[in-house]
Amino acid sequence: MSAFQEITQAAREDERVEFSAEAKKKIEWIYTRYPNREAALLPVLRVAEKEFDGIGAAAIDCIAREMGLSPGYIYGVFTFYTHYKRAGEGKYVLQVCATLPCALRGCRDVVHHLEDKLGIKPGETTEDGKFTLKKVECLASCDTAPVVQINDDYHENLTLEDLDKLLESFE
Amino acid sequence: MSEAKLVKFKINGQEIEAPAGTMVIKAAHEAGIDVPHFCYHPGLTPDGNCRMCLVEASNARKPVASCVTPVAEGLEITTDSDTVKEAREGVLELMLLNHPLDCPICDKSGECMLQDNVYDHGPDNSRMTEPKMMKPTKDLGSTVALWGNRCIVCQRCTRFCEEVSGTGELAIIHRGDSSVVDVFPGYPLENDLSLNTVDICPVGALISKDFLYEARVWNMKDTPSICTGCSKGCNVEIQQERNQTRRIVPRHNPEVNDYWMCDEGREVFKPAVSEDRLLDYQLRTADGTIDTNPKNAASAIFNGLNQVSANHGTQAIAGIGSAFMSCEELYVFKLLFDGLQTPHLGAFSRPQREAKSFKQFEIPGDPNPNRLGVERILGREALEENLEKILSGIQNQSIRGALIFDDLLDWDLPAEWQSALSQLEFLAIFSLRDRTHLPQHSCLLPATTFGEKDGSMLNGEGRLQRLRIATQLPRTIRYEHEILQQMQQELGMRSKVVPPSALFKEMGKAVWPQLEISTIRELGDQGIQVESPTENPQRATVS
Repeated sequence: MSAFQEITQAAREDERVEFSAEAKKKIEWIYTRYPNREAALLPVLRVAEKEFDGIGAAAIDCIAREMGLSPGYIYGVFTFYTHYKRAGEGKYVLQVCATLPCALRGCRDVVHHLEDKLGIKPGETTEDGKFTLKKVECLASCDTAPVVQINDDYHENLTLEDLDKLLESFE
Repeated sequence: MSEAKLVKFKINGQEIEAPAGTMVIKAAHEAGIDVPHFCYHPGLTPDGNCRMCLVEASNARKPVASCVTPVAEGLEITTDSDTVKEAREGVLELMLLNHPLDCPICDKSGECMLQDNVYDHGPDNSRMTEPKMMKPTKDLGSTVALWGNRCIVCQRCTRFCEEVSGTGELAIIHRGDSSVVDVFPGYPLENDLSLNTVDICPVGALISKDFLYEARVWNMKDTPSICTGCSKGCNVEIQQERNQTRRIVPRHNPEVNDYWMCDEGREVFKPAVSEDRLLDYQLRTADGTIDTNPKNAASAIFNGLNQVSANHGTQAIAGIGSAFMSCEELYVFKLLFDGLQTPHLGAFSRPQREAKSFKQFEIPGDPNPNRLGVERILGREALEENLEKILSGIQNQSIRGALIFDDLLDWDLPAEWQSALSQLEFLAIFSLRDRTHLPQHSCLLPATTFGEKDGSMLNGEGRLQRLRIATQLPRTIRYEHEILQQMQQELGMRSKVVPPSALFKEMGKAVWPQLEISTIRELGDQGIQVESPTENPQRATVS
């Protein structure tokens, strides 16, 4: 083991996290529904996302130990998808759809409004850790454009006034 | 695969036969038909992601990736039609979208598959006007560095880490044009096979930190040889420039190392180019002066040993070879000491270590390249029993003179030997390092090492393989076998000094009489199995 490896592993051990018994039970159930561990990774990432409030290095390390996959493999899969919550993202993740139908129905105004209101650019998180703003691709709700997904909920046919009300409800 | 039935098909109108299940690209390459590719590697499972190997097949309307298309009876493949050419141009144009034009400062330049394929099949310009994507340049571990911009995401390295090393450090992260190979933060690329990923990287994305900016590949000359780092005897290509070895890369041998070798093996040439290498002869004469003329080496050792044997009898001299000597050297060594009429013949070897096992590669526990050769030529007892006898003989002063080979890599004489040797009346040491810390060395002689010898070695599986000369010896150094032969001449055992090829003939008859190998040339580039590997299981348990 090189010095490089020792240092990084020591750092990793400090921030080690573990799944709760409940999450482990859920993961066991997920395993029964997929042919192999690789296939079960996506739903397990969903579990980890809730469990650790966003997936970071420590969470990936924990999943790797739990599933017997290499951390590199999980990292590759995790970074491929944009819809998992990253560690360090705010309590409310605002995902503004920026694909064509939403763009035609004024998503740019939505983004600009949120930028002004929250003082952050897409991809950033407010200093109080409350909001993260993201511009994302199609949320598959074109008939109700413009759409913003906030955590697990869709907010459709948004006007700027609706948006203000929504933000206030999160205060 | 050997039982698979042969199917007949055509490539560019040429009739070809291949076992069912063979991929078209492999059959084409075996028939000498060029099919450009990136992600396909014969040692890895096909992936079909780069699309460079597109060909037209009679059973498909669109061009198909030949690395994932199995051959079929009556299939007609076209590799040179306009459609195929257009497809290749298109693929290459896309690959070049984000690839930097930094060939002049790229280590891979000259052996880069992208360079070659673009030169042969690529478009003559790019329609790209957008700025290129920028990706990180960083260390992936202690041996390999990443130039992310150059990565074409062929996934050869990630497949290597999954399938061959089984360690899985590397992954493609992000997606689309952002994707690049990387490691998970905190889990660097640290395995004993990591540098193979550099070899198989078709571009300059993964770079060996050791070789970085050391040489331009087109200036180097290749010599096929074998690695002398351990008993596996991986087949390698020694690459040298201006008589200095710069790099060792694995050479394909399905019987030994396949396409791979370990990282440690790539370092075996370091002692030869090391600054503290012993380059001068130091022959202590009767009047206490030091003679440095290599021509006098043989007579100095001979006279020294003769003096001891005249004073104390022939039993008072000992010879200790090493498991790093070639079979030819061992053979002359054995003859010489038989001629000197002493039974004290031993050989140093490096201690056993833990064998390492990877998914598709084994690093044996025996770190001696020619232990089996020593066993066959000097006798099995030379490595253990005889050494102990010689040591106690020196300690109780029944042995008073010795000739010793200290040409083992990364190894030092054990302390008990150092103190014992200093009691000898006469001592001659062939060494890689200056052993002035030994109080009394009557003769100190520079040893030859990796890449400088011609000859053969017997690996741990009983395969006799050829060592070749890649770099000429430093001008001051003579070959050990020459000096040993000159000593034989002094004994009247040999009329003239002959090259290792002639020694091989003599040795072949004497050591393996049942084999009909008459010349060293018959060993070829892949070696010959002279003993069944099942009779000689890896000697991991010897110690």
